[in-house]
Amino acid sequence: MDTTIAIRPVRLKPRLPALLEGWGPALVFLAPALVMLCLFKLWLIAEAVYTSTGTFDPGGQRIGNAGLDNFGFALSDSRFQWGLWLSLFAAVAKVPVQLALGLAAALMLRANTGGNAVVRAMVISPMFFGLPVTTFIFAYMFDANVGAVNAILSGIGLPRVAWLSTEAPAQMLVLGLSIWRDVGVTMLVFLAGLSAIPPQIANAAKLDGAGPFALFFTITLPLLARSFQFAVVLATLASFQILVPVLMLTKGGPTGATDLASFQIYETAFSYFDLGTASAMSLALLFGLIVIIALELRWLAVKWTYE
Amino acid sequence: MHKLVLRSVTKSYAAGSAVLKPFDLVAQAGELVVLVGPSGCGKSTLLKLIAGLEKLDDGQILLGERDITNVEPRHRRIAMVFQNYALYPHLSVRENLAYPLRRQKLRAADIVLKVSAVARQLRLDELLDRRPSQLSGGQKQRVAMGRAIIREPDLFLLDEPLSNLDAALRTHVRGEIRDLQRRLGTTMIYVTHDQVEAQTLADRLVIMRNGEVQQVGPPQEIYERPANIFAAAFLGTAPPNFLAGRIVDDRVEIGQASLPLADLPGECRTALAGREQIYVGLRPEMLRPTCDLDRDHFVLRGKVIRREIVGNSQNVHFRSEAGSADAAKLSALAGRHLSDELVWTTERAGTDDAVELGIRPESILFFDTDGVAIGAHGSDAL
Amino acid sequence: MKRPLRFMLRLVLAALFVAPILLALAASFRDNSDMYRYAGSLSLWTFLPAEPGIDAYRRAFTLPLLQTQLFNTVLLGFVMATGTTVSSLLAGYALSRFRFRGRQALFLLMLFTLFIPVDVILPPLFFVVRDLGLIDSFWGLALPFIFSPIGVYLIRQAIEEVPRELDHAASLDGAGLWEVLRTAILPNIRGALIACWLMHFVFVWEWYLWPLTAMRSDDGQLAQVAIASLIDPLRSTDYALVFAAAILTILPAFVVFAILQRFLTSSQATTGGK
Repeated sequence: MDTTIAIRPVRLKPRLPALLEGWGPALVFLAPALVMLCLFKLWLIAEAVYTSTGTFDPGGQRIGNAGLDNFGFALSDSRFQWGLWLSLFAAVAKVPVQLALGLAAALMLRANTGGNAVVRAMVISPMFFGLPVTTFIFAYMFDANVGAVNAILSGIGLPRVAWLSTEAPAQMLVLGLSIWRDVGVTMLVFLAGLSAIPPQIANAAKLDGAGPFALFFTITLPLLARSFQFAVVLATLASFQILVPVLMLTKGGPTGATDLASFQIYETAFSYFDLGTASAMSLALLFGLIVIIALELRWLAVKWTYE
Repeated sequence: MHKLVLRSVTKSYAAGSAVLKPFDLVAQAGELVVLVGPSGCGKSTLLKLIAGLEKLDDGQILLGERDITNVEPRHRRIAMVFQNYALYPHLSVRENLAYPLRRQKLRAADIVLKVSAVARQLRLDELLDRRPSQLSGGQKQRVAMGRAIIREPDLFLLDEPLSNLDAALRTHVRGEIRDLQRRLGTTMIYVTHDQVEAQTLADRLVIMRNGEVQQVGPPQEIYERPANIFAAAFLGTAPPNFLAGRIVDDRVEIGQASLPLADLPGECRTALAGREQIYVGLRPEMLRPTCDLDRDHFVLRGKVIRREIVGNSQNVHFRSEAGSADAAKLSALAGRHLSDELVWTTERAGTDDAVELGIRPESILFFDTDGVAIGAHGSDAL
Repeated sequence: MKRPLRFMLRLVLAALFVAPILLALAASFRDNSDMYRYAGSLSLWTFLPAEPGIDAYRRAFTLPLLQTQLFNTVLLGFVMATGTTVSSLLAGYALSRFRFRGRQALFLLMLFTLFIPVDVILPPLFFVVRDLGLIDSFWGLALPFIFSPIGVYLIRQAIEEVPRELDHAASLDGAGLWEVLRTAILPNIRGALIACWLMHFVFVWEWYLWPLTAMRSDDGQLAQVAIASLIDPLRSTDYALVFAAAILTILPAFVVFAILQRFLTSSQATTGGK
């Protein structure tokens, strides 16, 4: 055997096997998650893109290509424009209120006393009931006839409110339910953030002359920046998931007051069977959500680290 | 310059477990007082009480002419350097330094002037725009010092400020802190568990154990005349060799060796008279070969177990017939593990299997069976 | 001085969250006529049953399919919890311990799918499952959510905290990839596994939109979706029946949670003391 042949020339370009380096054994463990990821996330997006460019008969069969017509149709539709505004409004209304309340609750309950632990558990408790049951509870509380809220209102001499058939109250009800349910999560995020602040830093600030207000605005709040970013993204994401009470209670009404984009998407697909337009609407709304979250992540980026 | 007075300050967390037993301390104006003791002795708690970060159960704290017992921390005019520096991570070095001044609502122009003055003094000029996470340990330490001195406080508190630095840097920064304190003339309370740091820095040392003061005084004085076995074992590179002794007639008997009381200094002789059981402490570095001593009444013979070479000196571990006392009891009194081996620290090289050592009678430390020093010792007024 | 104020604030906060839940609980023990009689004017009986009874629960048990639907919810809970935990465990192990090209990118891609809420993407998801021929089937409900970015994240973090020396020690003792996972890693991430399992179990009670869309047959439906159809906000709803059924629905989740929660805190205590 000629031993000199053993010296091979060095390849400059990585070959395909090099790109897949190390995947062999990993693939066995990744397989279940990867299959589901590909089927129900990646294919899902591909399917959305594909259906959004087609026209369908009422039976759901693709009968032609529409190009970008579905997008043009959806985005020029004044009802869908209104729906997008409403979705944006839901985020703009929900995020600040939920953050303020969650932060206030976290500051109030941060000390580790037994009483605080109980109140904390109560603030979190709505999460355990699930969105459907939470919606039942709100439907009952705000029921025009037997609801406790109207009973209290009339008891103290105020007029009863037809919560689900008046515009602003219906919007408040849907948003209020969402905030009531999610404020516990925000509180937990801020509690974790507060406990990550080294007590020494607050002590140093006190000795440096900071009163309670200066301590909060110059130390505590800036040091909560990461929790802030996380809580804002979570709340924004949740503000795009308030379809359940709309579908169950208001059905987009009264007079379009809760006619959210996601509700229109549902209706377009499952009541009007206009699959192409529904997919185009889905993608448009998803794009809007991702843009908002990207902007938030950028605006709230944190430049400092401990250590 | 301001004097700090603590009057019978007490503190406990859970009922019954006193962290600080009634505690008195006076730091004279401009003095550097070091609180030293093993971890859990209450020294850090004491610092927090002085700073006002924790409430005291009882007692009084005076700073200069002011009673600050119930004053908010921010109005005490006290600056503190924390063990992990506690720099504000979201602020630049410049803003860290300016922070105390901003809280005092100083004019912007004055703040700029003061920050640059302090930065020059502490060689931070180049670092002013960095954030704490971009600094080395030594640089962080300097920023923490700068933040403390910038507002010209009445009192400095330093809580183990060097423990996060490596050994070489520690010695250097220690010197810088000492110089800075001398130059500013501000009273300083310095907490450490490191006895070398404590001795090199302190005008006066306060040795603490379990929330109680063991001894107060200048380092040299405590080294020469420790108030008890704990203080004796705490200062010095190695603890003294403790041996059990007996007073028989007018001699001190330590195992086979013995020593006439007449050879001891006057106050020691009278204090020892009439006692029976005692402990003696022989500092390893005070032992001498018998041939070097003019009088050799007291001879300690032993077999060498091992020799450890440390630079140009040698620790000779040996076992003697004089024997050591009950190691368990002595360990409890000293607050650290004491073996039954004896140690002789010497600069001579040697390879012998046996040693024959003596000590000048005035260098012997005497303790009663409760570990309290016998004879007058240098514990001055607290 | 400020103590009573602080106490009151906490009390108000607690009441804000607990009162609606207690109100619903109370409603399940009353009679419908009772509810409507006292609704007009404000009195204690507006909130509490004047004549408490379990009639509503009796009626809930006679709802034709409720027991089957409740079984569906619980079964789905077990399947989802187990499926997500196993797939997350395997993926988390690979993402934490194996070196392969694009590992970080894959992890980020997985996390990124968190930003695709089901509310927004419901129609395309329906088409995908329809193309797979799984509409109106149990697996059609379950499969799309067996991959969980939160689960992968949670378990990968937990595995990251297990010292790699343990792996090395195990593989020096002759353990293969599976044995390393089983003997070195699994015992040290029990807390995270239980947390992951429990989270995804309870999460099934959140479901509404997906089963409403993908399950058209009544006997395959989940209990909470079926109960929702009892609510008609524009007419008079039988709230006693709704809440009796709802409480029966939640009960299994609470029981499982109560049992496993003890393991959760105890295993955290043992792994925390590193």
